[in-house]
Amino acid sequence: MAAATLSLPCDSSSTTNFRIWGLAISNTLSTFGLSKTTDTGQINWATVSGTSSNDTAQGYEIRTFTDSLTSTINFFFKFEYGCGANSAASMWITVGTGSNGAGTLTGQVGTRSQFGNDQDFTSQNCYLAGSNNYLTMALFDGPNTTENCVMSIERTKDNNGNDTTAGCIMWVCANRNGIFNNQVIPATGVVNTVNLWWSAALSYNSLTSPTMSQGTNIGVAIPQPFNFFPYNPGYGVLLYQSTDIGAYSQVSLPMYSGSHNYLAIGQFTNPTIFTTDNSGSNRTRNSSHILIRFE
Amino acid sequence: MAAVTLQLPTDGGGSTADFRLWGLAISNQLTSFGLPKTTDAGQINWATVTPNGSANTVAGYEIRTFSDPLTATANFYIKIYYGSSQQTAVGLWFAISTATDGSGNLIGQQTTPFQIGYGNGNAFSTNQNHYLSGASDRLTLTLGDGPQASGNTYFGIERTKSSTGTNTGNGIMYFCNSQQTVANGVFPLTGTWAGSQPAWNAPLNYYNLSSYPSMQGNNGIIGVVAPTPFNFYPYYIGYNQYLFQGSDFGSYATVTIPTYGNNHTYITLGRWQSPCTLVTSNGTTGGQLVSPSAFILMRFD
Repeated sequence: MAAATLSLPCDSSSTTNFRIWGLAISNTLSTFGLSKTTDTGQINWATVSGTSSNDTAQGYEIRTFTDSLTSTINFFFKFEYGCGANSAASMWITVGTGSNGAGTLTGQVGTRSQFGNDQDFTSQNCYLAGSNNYLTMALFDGPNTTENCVMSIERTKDNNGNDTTAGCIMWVCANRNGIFNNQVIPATGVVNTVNLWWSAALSYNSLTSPTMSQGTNIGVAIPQPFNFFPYNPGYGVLLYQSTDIGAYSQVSLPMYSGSHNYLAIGQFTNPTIFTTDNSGSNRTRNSSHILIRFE
Repeated sequence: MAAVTLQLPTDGGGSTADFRLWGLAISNQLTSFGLPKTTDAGQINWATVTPNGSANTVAGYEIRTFSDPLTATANFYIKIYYGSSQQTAVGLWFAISTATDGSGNLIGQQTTPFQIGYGNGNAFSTNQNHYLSGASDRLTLTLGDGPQASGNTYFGIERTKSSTGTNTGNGIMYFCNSQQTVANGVFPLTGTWAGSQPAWNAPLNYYNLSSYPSMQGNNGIIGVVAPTPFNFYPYYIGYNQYLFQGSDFGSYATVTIPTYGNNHTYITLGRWQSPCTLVTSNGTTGGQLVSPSAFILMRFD
């Protein structure tokens, strides 16, 4: 496993800039152990052109895990590269259990989910972490703006946090088009409609000053992955409240039996969990922010 | 540990005989579970107590404690008020502290009393099903829930847990859901009590909320979620309660659920009122989705 911070242009209108950011991310995914398939038609970073058309993909890559479970059940990830809005960068992720060899996912196929940006900058920070069985990304987040552009994929877990062959957990939270998708793509059985919000148990006290901290104790919430019924949580993403953790700081948190390193991303938007009390009065909780696994 | 279903009337707020019958049966059951009364003066005398016939009125109290090994270093006092709720239906209140003055008064840091009671139309002179489960370190109960009485009257307490589900002396977790009280929290042995959460916090599935809320897969697997206890920050979940959605389970069904690798039996309560009408919203547009369809599974073993 590895983590990388890349400084890249959040711009797809310039062919030069588009190739710079796309190729850098592509190379990092390969370094992590998420290999490209032999599907035809994949993006050629030497020839692909940029675009300023909103929500437009210019090409794709098909990648897979390469861990020991691959021989039992492999997942195929279609990453698309393109433009979000205002010339800013955007990506899309689709998860499947097969491909037709020409860039089309087959078998169990999840929902195509965009994680893109709205603002064009010459240089923004991209945070990536991964291995041969997981990937987390927070793209183009600071220093100029704190747009969220988060994606996480990993295998489903057993009760002890070990990988299983049951499915693949996907999370997306992005400013562009307000995407807050999560989905478990099961290896077999029905793929349910994507969940459009993240489900997590947050604290509702101190609504005007949201926090889950007291002194040096800081609580985080674990978003719950679903495909009809809940699955054991993964490691990829966690939630914290408001300013309990400073943006872009790193913390070590216990998950299952081990400690893992997480990065608090920019506090721009949130996957937003609300509640009402028993009388029906709304209690707003719009201050949850994301920690991505960063190791 | 043990679980019982007591057949008791729920009209004790207006009937001395039924009040004593009802209260004494619950009192004896708590003792049987291993939740002993303290020696505090002024505790209710079931041979002489008389309800005053008014709604939401306390007739007397008991003070009880856990009796597990942690009691020596982490004792909590649970003051149970017996009385009425709406009209002449019975009702209970629970309050928690770490000390009493010996005369029935909780002292030091303490919770507000949580009222567990009914809405109108639930005072029955005929027997209603009261579900109770407990041991020396925990209690779950619901007052008469069926065959006629309706309305959740749930209360659960247990010790805080470690990451592997064993008891710790850090605090006591409580969850309430009734007509009068929807609350949950962790009352700490030391440090500040943040107060109660006004709703139960659990990560429910929001798929198809309005028409068919469910956590049941097409393969027959039914998912449940454990509400998270909080005191400022989240604590490890307990064993006392889970939530299910919609009609994934029938009312009063018993199911086995593993927690921390340990199987326990749970009973689904009547699906009258959700303790956590969770709502979610798209953070950009503010559009809201309401999920008033989460119902309680109460530990029952």
